[in-house]
Amino acid sequence: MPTESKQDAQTHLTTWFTEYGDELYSWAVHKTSSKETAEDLVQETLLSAFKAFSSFKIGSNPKTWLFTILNNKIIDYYRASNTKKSINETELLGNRMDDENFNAEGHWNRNPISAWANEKEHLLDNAGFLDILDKCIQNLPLNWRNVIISKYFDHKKGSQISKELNITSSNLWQMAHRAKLQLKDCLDKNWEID
Amino acid sequence: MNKLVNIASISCKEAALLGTKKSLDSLSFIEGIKFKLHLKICKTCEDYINQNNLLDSAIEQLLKSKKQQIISLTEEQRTKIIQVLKH
Repeated sequence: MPTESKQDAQTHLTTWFTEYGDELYSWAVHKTSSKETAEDLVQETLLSAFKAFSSFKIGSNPKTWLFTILNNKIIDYYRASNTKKSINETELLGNRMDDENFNAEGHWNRNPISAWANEKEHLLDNAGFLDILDKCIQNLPLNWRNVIISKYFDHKKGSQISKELNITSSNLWQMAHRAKLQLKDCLDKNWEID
Repeated sequence: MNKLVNIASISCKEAALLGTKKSLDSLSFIEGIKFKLHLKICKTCEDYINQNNLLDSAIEQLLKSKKQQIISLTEEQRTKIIQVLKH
């Protein structure tokens, strides 16, 4: 990069980072549940933006541009976490969830109805319950958590999520199904009605 | 008729999975019939699906409130991140 363009890129990106840094970082924290990972991803975003600065069209929205780069970094992060080892581990956990909940014929092994479900609409205003739910989501295996975040935070369609994660649709439904069972289990264990 | 009922019958495990599939994508015509039929005859699954919808709403509510929550970078983090532009 010629020195002049390099300086131009540095000046612009420094200004934009001052302006949008917190928003980029918050977004990455919410999507990865890790401040450390979020910090790395924001830094990588800035580096990629610097390298690709010539492709930024003057007049377009820098915030949108930076968020597009960040979102691609987040997709890469989750895709990289989908290793054979992690898939095997979640498969084991998933099988255990299935065995705990269903018998060989596929009927419920235990009553799946939880005490918290009786709270109905009051539940959504209950900060204590939402706090436990938050911790339960954070404790999900990485790839299951990503499915939940993609669906409920980003409102992405199933087909888009499976494409991003490089998995089949039936794999995705299975992961979401097991993630929900795991969340239910976690809430059952940690939620106590006053 | 019995044969028809057999073809249409699915287990609770399959019904729970179809419930999740329905919320992510959509069910095929046949799957939709199987799912509805199962919920008609299985009160536990009907309750489970309703409970799951409640859980969906709770997750939505939680993540919606998070979306508006800004977490500020510390000065130390800012200095560290911006270093990347200085090489």
